[in-house]
Amino acid sequence: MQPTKGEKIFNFFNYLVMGFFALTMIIPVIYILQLTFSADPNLDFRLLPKKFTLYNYKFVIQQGLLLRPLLNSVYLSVLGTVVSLTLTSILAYPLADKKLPGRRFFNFLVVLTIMINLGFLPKYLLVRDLRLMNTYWSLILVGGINSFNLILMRNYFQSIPDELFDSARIDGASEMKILFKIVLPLALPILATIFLFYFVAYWNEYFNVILYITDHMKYTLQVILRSMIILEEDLGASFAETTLLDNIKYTTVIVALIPILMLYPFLQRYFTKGIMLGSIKG
Amino acid sequence: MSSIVEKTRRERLIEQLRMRKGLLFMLAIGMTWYAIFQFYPMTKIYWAFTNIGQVPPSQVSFVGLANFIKLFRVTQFRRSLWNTFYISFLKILIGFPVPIIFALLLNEMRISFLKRGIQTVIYVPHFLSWVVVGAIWYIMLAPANSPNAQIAEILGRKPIFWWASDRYIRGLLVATDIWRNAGYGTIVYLASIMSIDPALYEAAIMDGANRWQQTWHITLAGIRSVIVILFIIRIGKILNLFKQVFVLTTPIVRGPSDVLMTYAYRTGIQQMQIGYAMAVSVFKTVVGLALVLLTNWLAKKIKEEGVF
Repeated sequence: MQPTKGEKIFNFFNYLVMGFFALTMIIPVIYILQLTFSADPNLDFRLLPKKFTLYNYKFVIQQGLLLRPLLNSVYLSVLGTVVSLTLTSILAYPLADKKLPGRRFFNFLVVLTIMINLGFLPKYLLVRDLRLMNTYWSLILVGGINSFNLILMRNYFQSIPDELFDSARIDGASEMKILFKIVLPLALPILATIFLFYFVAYWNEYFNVILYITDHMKYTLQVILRSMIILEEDLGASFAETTLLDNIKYTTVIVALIPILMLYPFLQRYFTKGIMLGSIKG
Repeated sequence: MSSIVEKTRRERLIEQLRMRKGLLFMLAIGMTWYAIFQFYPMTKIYWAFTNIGQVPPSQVSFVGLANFIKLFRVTQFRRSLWNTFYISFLKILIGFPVPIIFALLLNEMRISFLKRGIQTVIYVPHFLSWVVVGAIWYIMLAPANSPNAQIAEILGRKPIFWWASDRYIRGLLVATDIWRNAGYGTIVYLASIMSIDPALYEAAIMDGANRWQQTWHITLAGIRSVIVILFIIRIGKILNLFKQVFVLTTPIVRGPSDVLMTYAYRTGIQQMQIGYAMAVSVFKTVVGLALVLLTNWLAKKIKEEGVF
């Protein structure tokens, strides 16, 4: 069918408008990226570096400026993701069993925590009483299981045919073995999705770090980044003039972005799947 | 034989439990976490009815609704409540339709590499933390030596320090929220558009429906229930407005940007008025739940499927 004149005009403006919005999503990121490769102190808008240099990265690496917060962020994200993913799978599996006595009750409890959220105060005092302040375990244990992720995984497990479990049980396999040897390999798409969700959540965490960590040596990239750029706190101006400090700020933004950008192709692949699964009402 | 067939309920339950020992163990591990880190903190709801934090620990006593009555006499609380509703209202009014419109527009695209390209970049910001989003827009909108200053110069105006401006801070919160999350919403709607039966479009074309009529009667009608569900969820989140404001604002603009939970943070964590701050949290939870139930009820009234 030939498009009418009206449709042609509509199509033109459609591509124009959507293209514009799509560009506004990435142009600021490209702008900051080129700043880290620019030696020019003029920060006017541009998409390519002016007076190209690798000095900013070299300086940051040689001085080890971001090494500590970077390692902290990586440590927290990796350990947190492993613990959260394990806990979530271990609970999603029994909750998916249709014959488990009390299943409805436990599922109700999980949903309850989504609806009633009293905020950070009681958790903060709990962490203090458990003497977990200033440890990453405070963040990991409070992060623990995300109820949304748990429901996503449970729904996926429910879609696996019961016969698989039953035959494994008849063969005498223990439940742990069934989970790790049979269910999880079958559930790789959802595992990947939830792995990414947890990793991004831990990597991006800011508030809980501020809440539970007071030791500056344990601060993560996000905390350093906010204090540098938003609060404009002076993080030891002794070593350089202001322009250099500015360049370190931009470099920090990019360092905080890199893992997300590296994971982005995977996020994309599993993301739509995750949404589809999420739309199944449970 | 009949004794085996006619097992009592109790016996069947015990048998089910024995068969699932391993499962129960896993359930116990997971629910222990829920008990310690979700339900135990939840029991502290009673703090809201005590004077804990205002008196030495030995003198803590129940004070009834005193904390809640005090809330409404404190100007800062009233201000934060107003700000929470006002900013959330703006976000919903402006931000809620954006992803729906984006999804409909993307759905009309026929050049597949452009469509895919736009789909790919549009939700990059969703995975950035509020800190990174803030950093990017603080740099872009810096008052001097920035794209912001450059544009102001072209327009012949004095550059504005947007982030430190009482007038613009709410607008910035709305704009950065759309910038970060509109793409994500678009993909959600697009996914549900994809699940509409193509036969419906074919039938409509046979009946002579034009593209606009197809969009209105098939596409929009097809995602209506998703729109309603996302709207209800969005309403439920109104009072949870916190992390964005906590990260993106500084005390300079507290007047127009202080929200319920940032207020609870200051009174609870920084000033340790635990009972009082807990009352703020309880108020937030109760009103939030009431809003969800109300919207859900309204949705059912107009014959839509609700969340519950």
